[in-house]
Amino acid sequence: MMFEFLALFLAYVCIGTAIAFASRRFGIASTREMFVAGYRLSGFLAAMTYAATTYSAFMMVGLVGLAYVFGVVALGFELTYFVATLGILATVGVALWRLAKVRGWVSPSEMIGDLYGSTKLSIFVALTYLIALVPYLAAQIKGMGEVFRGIGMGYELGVALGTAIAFLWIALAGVWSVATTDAFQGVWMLGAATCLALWLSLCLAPSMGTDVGSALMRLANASNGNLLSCRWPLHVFLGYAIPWIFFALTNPQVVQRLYMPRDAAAYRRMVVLFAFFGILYTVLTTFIGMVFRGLAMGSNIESELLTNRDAVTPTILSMAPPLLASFVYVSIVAAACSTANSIALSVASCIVRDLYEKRRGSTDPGKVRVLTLAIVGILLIVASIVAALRVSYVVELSVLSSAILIPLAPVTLAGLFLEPRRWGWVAQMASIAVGYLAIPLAFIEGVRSVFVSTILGLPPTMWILIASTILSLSGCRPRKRAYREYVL
Amino acid sequence: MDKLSAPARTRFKRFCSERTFGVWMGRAMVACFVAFLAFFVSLPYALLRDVRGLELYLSWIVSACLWSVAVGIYLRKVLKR
Repeated sequence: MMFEFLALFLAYVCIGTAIAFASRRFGIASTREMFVAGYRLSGFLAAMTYAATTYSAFMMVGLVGLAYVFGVVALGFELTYFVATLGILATVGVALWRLAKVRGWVSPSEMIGDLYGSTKLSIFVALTYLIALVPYLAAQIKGMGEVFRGIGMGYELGVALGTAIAFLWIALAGVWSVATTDAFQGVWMLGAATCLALWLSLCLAPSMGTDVGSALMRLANASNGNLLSCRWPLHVFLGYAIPWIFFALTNPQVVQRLYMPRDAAAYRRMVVLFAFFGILYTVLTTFIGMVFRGLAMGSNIESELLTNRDAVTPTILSMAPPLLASFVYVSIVAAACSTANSIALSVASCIVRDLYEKRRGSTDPGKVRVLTLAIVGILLIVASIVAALRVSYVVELSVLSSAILIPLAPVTLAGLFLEPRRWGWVAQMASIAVGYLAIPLAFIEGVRSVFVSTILGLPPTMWILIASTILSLSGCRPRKRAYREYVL
Repeated sequence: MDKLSAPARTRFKRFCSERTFGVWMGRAMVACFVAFLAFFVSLPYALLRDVRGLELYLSWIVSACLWSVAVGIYLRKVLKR
């Protein structure tokens, strides 16, 4: 197993590095080239980088485990995110793409500052990204370490190699190398999920004397309830789904990708290809979890995995042929790496653009490049130290980041469709600060409570959305110009 | 195309004309959107009823596919302007 993994991992690193090196020919002569590919990304690259950035290691580990424990509701939860994201891409996304070119936006914090005419607000947003996303970054690096630990090659080695690859693929050509390697990693992720699902259906199920259809139908009589119906109460479903519904507007690494398509055809192709990738990857990962639960029913491992759902994928892979298992393990590394380097570059763009370039007025590409790499390096080193120390609550904090960033959705929407008042940016700061209330709640009651508990019948994430929307709207008035003229 | 009769060729050309094609695409988009909404209603339906078959699983997949098609057609229309 270790030999197969090493061979495939080496192939992955070599091909990825070669692709990243080849993408240097696109050139990174300016900040715009470095961070948003000079607004000239093709539809295919835009789609693949969007998909690989969005879908992290959570899909092949967390979602498979979620589908194993809760059944079909995991598919509903993930498809709610998918449907909402497509809706945002078809409406608000088009407006953001058009305005980004007109206004010359490079970082998402710069966009919010520009919408409200306030540099203070853009700095506040940049700092919020930094606070919310460093644990998320650490969780991705931790994921790479866990894969290496599972293979028996040492957790620390995984952390170090993951950090080095993420840095190298940014350093070679900025977002160009990130986008091209994302395309490669996206294909790897989809290929691995397809092979695992096929092996489960065509090899494992028949070897256990059953088939996929029977395994799925058995889920209606699982030990923890009927897994073919919606197992979560509505408030739990909403509590988990709300941060993800607005993910396309709240997370800088995906918002920034909306600026990049080179023309209308590329933007449309990006959305269509992302839809194809997203639905296929979601259905495959939930299918793997559900079918394995059906196959495992009645055995000893069924109950063991119910209490440790992150162990579901490693358990499946322990039964798979070594080459297939290695292929899937490397796909988990790829998913984590593609998300990690996109986050690091995106957060770095906010800091470089809003805290340095706009204040100093410097546009020397050489200086900006050195500064960007220094910030990316610091971010990745801090995240890898947090991961290497195995801080127990880093995964919980990374989950919390989605709740902290919820207010950025109403702030972005209000800025796009309404006219900010003179002191509107203060209201927006207060709105964003509401997201931070999730932190004390998580420390007092536990991170899970932010998503599953109720306050007056509604989940805390819903209250964060309501409070931040009210505060955000209080800082705006109806726009004088017609919406279609301004945005579409 | 050459194998088609003259009236069929005229009808086919008319169908492919920008305006007729646009109208049919618009209708397809609305149909996909309505079908998506119909399937997505299965969420509250499932919350109220104990589903024991694959109808919820399949309806969510089909609704997401239809939604994707509707979004694709909508973008084709919007991004032409």
